[in-house]
This record gives sequence, C-alpha cells and structure tokens, in this order.
Amino acid sequence: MAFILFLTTVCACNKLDVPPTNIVQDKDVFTDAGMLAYMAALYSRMPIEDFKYSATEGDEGFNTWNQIWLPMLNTGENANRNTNGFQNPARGYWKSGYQVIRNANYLIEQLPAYAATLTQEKVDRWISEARFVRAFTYFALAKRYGGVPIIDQVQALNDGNIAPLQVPRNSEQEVYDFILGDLDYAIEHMREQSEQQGRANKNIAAAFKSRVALFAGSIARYAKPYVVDGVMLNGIPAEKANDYFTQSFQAAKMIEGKYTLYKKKWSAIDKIATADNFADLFLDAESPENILVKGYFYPDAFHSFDAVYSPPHMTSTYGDRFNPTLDFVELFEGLPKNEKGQLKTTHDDGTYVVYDDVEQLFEDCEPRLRGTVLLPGQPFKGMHTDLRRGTIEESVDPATPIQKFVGEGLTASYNANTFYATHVKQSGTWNSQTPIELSTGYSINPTGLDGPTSANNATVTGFHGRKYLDPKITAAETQLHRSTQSWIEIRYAEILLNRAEAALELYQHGVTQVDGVALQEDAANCLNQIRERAGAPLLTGSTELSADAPLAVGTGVGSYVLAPTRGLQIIRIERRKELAFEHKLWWDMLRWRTADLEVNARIWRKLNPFLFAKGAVPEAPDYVRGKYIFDGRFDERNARFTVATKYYYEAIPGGEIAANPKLEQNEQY
Amino acid sequence: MYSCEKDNYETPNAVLQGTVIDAHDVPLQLEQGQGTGRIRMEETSWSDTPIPFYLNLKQDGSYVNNKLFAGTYLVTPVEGAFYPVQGETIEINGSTQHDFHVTPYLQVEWVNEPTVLAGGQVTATFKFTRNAGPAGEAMPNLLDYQLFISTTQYVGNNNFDGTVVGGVVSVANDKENMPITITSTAPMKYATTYWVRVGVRVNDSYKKYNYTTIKTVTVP
Repeated sequence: MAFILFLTTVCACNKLDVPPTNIVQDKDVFTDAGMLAYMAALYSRMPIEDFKYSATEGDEGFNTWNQIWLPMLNTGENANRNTNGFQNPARGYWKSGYQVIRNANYLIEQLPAYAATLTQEKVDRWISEARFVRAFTYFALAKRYGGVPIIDQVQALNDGNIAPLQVPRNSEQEVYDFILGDLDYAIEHMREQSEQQGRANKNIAAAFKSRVALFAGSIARYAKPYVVDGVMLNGIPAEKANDYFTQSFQAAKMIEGKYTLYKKKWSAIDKIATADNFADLFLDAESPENILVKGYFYPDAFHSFDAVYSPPHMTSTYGDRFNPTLDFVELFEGLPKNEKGQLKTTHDDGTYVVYDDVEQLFEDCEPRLRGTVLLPGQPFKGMHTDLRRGTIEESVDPATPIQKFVGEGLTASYNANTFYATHVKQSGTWNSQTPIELSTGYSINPTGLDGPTSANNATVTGFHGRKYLDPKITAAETQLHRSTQSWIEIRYAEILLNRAEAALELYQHGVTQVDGVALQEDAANCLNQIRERAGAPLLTGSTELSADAPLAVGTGVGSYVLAPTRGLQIIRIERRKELAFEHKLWWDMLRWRTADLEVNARIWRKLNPFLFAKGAVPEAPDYVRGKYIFDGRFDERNARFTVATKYYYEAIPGGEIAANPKLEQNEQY
Repeated sequence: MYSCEKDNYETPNAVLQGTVIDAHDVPLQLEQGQGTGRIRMEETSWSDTPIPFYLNLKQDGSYVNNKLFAGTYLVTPVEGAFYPVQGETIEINGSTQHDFHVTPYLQVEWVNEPTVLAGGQVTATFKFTRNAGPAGEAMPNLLDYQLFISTTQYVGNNNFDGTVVGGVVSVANDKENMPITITSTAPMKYATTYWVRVGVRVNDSYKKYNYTTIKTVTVP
C-alpha cells in the first residue's frame, strides 16, 4: 500500500501529457496498415444508394434493412401495397455527408507530412482517393440541395468563436465545378487498378465524372435558376450546358475499351439465354461490366433485398414489394400494342384475346424484359411465378368471347361488371385461399400464389421484379439480414447511356463533333451496343435520333417519357429500360425536370391475368396449365402519384439552418 | 419550483381572420386545408429573419387563427392557383380582419349544373376563362381538368371518389370559354346526396386547381 501510494504521488505529478492509450494516434494511422482501416471507414460511409438505402429511415436515409419505401415508387418503375401516393425521399442527408467530407479533408491535409515514411507515390494516390470520396459525397449533397457550402479544409473551433465555422452556401455551379476538379485530380493521379476491390481508380473516377458532368449539363439546360443575394443556389447558367456535356462525353469516351458489356450467356438466337444473361450480370462478381461495386459478405455485412423484394411465395418473410408497373413493361419490344403504345390484350371489338397458357402473351418479348421482370409463369428459384387475379368459372367456355370487364382508362372496380360479379372467383389473400373444386376432380386456387389478390396484396401491378434477386437461395433460406449480393453502383451500360445522352445534347445544340468523334453517329452506336446486348431491335441509323418533336403523350410506345426532342426521348426510354430498379431514374427525372409533368395525378397501370377453370390442370402447386385472358387497367387501389415542383430540391434541414443562420433555404420551403 | 414562475406567459390570444378574394370580388374557391394555397405568416416584430409558419384555408376562401401573439406580421397568400402576390404587413392586435385580393389563373364556371343521368352517372358542363396577369405576367398554359364527386361537402382534389371519375383529362388553351361536358365514368353507388365540383389546372410551379362552386346532386 505504501509502495503504491509512493508511486502515484511521484508519477502523477510528474507528467500528465501522456498520449491516451485508448485513442488511436495519427502516427499509427498514417502507416500502410492504418491507412487500410482509414480507407475502409471512409468508403463504408460513402453515400451509395444501395440495398440499404431508404426513403423513410436509416442514418439520414442510409444503412437500414428497410427498403420498402424508395424513390423508385415515384417514377413508374416500382409500386407496392404500402405506398398510395408520392413518397418524399428527403431524409435530411447533411450531417453524415459533412462528416465524410471532414474525414477526407483530414487525410488530404495530414498525409503530405508522412511522405517520408509512406513514400510520395502512396501519399499522392491516397490523397486522390480521399478527393474521390469527397467528390462522391458532395455529389450526393448537390443532387439533393443544389448549392451547398464548400468546405475544403478541416474546420477547427478557435477560442469558442463559431462565426468562421458558419459558411454560407456556394452556388450550384461552384459545387459542381469543385466536384469535377476533385475528379480531374483523381483521374490524373490515380493508377488504372484499384488498390483493393471496391476502392477507386483512374477509370472509376472517369466513369463517375461522366455521371456528374451529365447532371451538371442537365441542370444548366433544364433547371429554373433560384438566386438569393446574388448566389444562384439552384440552377446553373444555361450557357454552361455544352461545357458540362462535353466533359461528360470525354470522360465516358476515356474508359472505352477498359470495360465491356456482360455477354457471357448472350445468344443472337436464344432469347431465354439472352434474358438470363441480363439477369446474371447483376450477380456475377467477375462481370467485366462492373465499374464501382459495393460488396457484402455474411455475417459481417449483409442486407435484406431478397427477403423484402422476392415474390411472396418465394420468401420466408416480407416479400411482395417488387412490383414493376405495366407502364414500365409496356416500354419493351415484342409485345402486342395499341396505337397509344399500351399492351393490347383485346380484339378490336373489345373482347379478350384468349391465350393457350399463361406464358404465351410474353413468349416473344424482348429478352431484357424477361431478365428484369418475373413474368407470369416464369420459372425462378425452382418454382414458378404464379400470377392470376382470379379464375373464371367452369361453366364459361373459353371459346365464348368475353367483353372487357372495365373500359379502357376507367378506374371502376371489377365488381361493377355483372359478368365478373357472377362468374369470376377471386381471393383476398394469396396464402389462405378456398380452392375451387373442378368437375375433373382437380382443385385449384382462384388466385395465384404471388397475387394479384382482390384486396390488393401480393403484387399490386400483376408483376414481380427479377433484377438483382438471387435465384440460388430457396424460399426457406430467403430471410432478413441474409442477402450478400454486391451493389453495382456504376456499370458500363450507364456510361454508354451517359455518353449517348451527352453526345446528342451537344449535337442538338450546335456541336457536331468532339475530339474528332461525330456525335450523332456515336450516340446511335452507344445505344445500339446496349440494344444488341438486350436483344432489342437496333436503331436503323443515327438519323433516328432526330431533333423532331417527341411522340406526344398517348401516341405510341414510351410516349409518356417526356423529352424536348424525339432523339432524346429515344435515349431516355432506353435509359429507363436498362437502368430501372438501380436507384438512378428518380434522379434522372429530376435533372431533366420532367417529373412534375410526367408524374401528375398519375395512376400506374396493372396487368391482371385470369384463368379459365374449364380445362385447367394444376401441374405444380404454383402452376396451373390452362387458357388465360389478360386485363390491362389502372391500379385497382386508385393510388394517384404527383411530384410537385418543390421536390426538385430537398429542404435544408431546419437544425442546420438554426446552427448556421448563413444558410439560405431552398425555394418553396 | 422557480421554473413554474417563469413560465407564466399569457397564452397567445390575438386573432387574424379574413377571406381570399378573387379578381371578380368573390371569395376564391379552394380546398379545405393546404391543398390549394395557404397563408404564410412571418412575425417581423419578433425577428428580422423570422421562421415562417402557415395557416390553412377553408373551401370558401376564408381563414382564421385565434391563437396568435400580438405583433407585426408579414402575411402572404402562397402556393395557390393564382398569380403570386406581395406580402402585406399587418398589425395584429386583439381581433384583426384582413382580406387578400388575388388574381386566379382561371375562372371556372358552371354552364349546366350537375344532373344525374338515367344510368346513375353524374354529368355537368363547365367552361373556364383565363385571367391576364395583373402585372403583365405571362399566362401559364392549361394542363388538365377533373370532375370531383364526394359524399361529403368537403369535395375537392383531397376528397373525392376516384373509382367513379377516371383520370385527369388534358386540355389545351384553345378550349377557353367553350362549354366542356364531363360525365362520371361509372354510376353512383348509393342513393344519396353527392357534392360535385370541377377543377381545372395550369402548368405553373404548384399545379393547384381552380374550382367551380360546389353543387349537390341527389341520386334517387
């Protein structure tokens, strides 16, 4: 005791300035091993809108299992029974972003002092990576808020004076130029290969630059400027548009030959193989199309995509929330359509076409559709997608024509139709149905195991999605917190579409070539690469990408996709078909400033299959062979979606304005 | 113990009320709530940069708030189907009455009031007139119209039976002053009284409806 007392007395007074052992010191971090950890932390906080992104919860919208609500519910890609109208995705992403930016700035400031121990080459490379992460994060902020304060150094509190920490917003243009500056630095100083999988390199920085510059160009061309005290907080001067589109084009062109479209199973003649090829590209870790990928592995990092997004009878829990709309399905080739561009499942006299089985309507469809969506009867996970809204009684012969239940464009319920009310059997749930006993001795469910039901659960659109779903796990293994497929944040198809769009935007605004490349031809060529892989018909020539007026709404396939010219309309339709469900299209519709007119009291469309009980033979619990009719109609919930113009930007979080009175709020908030 | 003493402020009891009046000196036709515009309040006697708050409007264009702190406010009707107006500085003390004058984008009027067809559908004829911008602002283009039918008097875009009226109907500027007939797409479900109005929109930032007055029809 005396000894301890002696020791404490002597030592404690001597020196309190000992580095605490429970806090990691800079000298330990700025080593090869320490940098591995620092980078892991930096990248893991990068705002990637992946399988853990959400419009309702999480850390300012990130890092949650709950993906039921996503911005793609507002675009016409996806619908689900939990959402009856516009889903505002604003989650106040701000603080988390500036934390990442601070961590990146710290690295940029401190690393040069360690050049002697680390080598100059590594210091340059890691500073480039920090600048890439900073650019990525600023882009997430610029997409949401327009101009935000540019903080390019580590802020410190001196003498309790907070005034220097309160930085006003820069203009949107300054933010985009800052991001592009960081990316140019990264492209110049990085190597061709990433240090580890998931980390940035020269080509990834160029790919990302093509996306950022395309956004900046679109904002300059289409956004309405909002100026406060001389600072253009929202919008970019229109005369800058061509500059940004040129940068986007050049960045995309720079990585030509570094990546290729995934075609391992692709076949010029086998549509099913080409469809499977398209589905595989999202699951093959060795895909040459992948550019920037965020990996997951159990049990350290996982998500719940399969459990929440599988068809209901193919998962142990949740399911159901992946319902591509008929509006989306109608964009694809190889389907019967009417003059409005809508799926045509009736004869000209208004009676239904009778199909020999549930697959027949879609048998010649564009392979990319089958690779993206689970169509009626489609095999998956060793089961079948079982889609049937109801079953027509055995007393009705399929040879007798049936008039369309509810007229085109009407919102009335089926029960208003007398034939329907007396002859169609339906179920309110998919998992506890009263089977219909047939005279043949068979018994069948009135409604499919994957819906759509009369109470609007299971699917609300008549389809389920396929993109990104893992076909190798059984229904019982499909559980929350067990999915590990990688999220592909950037893939080469997007870069080709960026390049085509930037090229045509330039071509239709007085620039015929960039760096000796003829732009209209290049746009058509990029588009045809995408279409060939998709199994879609190719453009007949570059002049199809014309400056003519676009198809007016309701006058042809994809005419609801708004664009200033027919050429740009074709490119925008292609982008939707290719990039749907990849959390990209919401941002596209914002930067084009088309969301408010396109999604305006909009009711998504739905396709309901009906089985004839007469002659029906159940071949599996989830497959009934028999004759079918299909009814295209408005969503039976009558859910109407409107995107107001205020949502082109989010509101700056109120707490941030309270902490920094120099922050001006966005318009309409 | 002490905190109770300091909390003894008077409850706010000043009243602001009035009506939003349109270009023809009649109350503006609105939705109940904030769906077709609202009143922005900024208390300038409290702060130079006050955080705004908002009052709801009633269908008949009137509004009231009887729980305000007395003071000077900048008050502006915003986000409605009318040309933007400058805010007005109002001294609110006791009970203050203030009417706002706005120019709606459109006047929407009945030509033939709603009736019930033999099949149970509701039909009506209306027309719209475009108002010129009061300060020479460009007139926004027409967007679409919609029939609204409800079993309550609060009929409007925030309260209607979507299964009987179909989707919005696109309309162009050249239909101005022409009678447009609109009919419900399905028979009414119950024998009761329905409240009916028609809304027409232009393509401005807010895309809110200008409405006809509300009429009732009785389905036998």
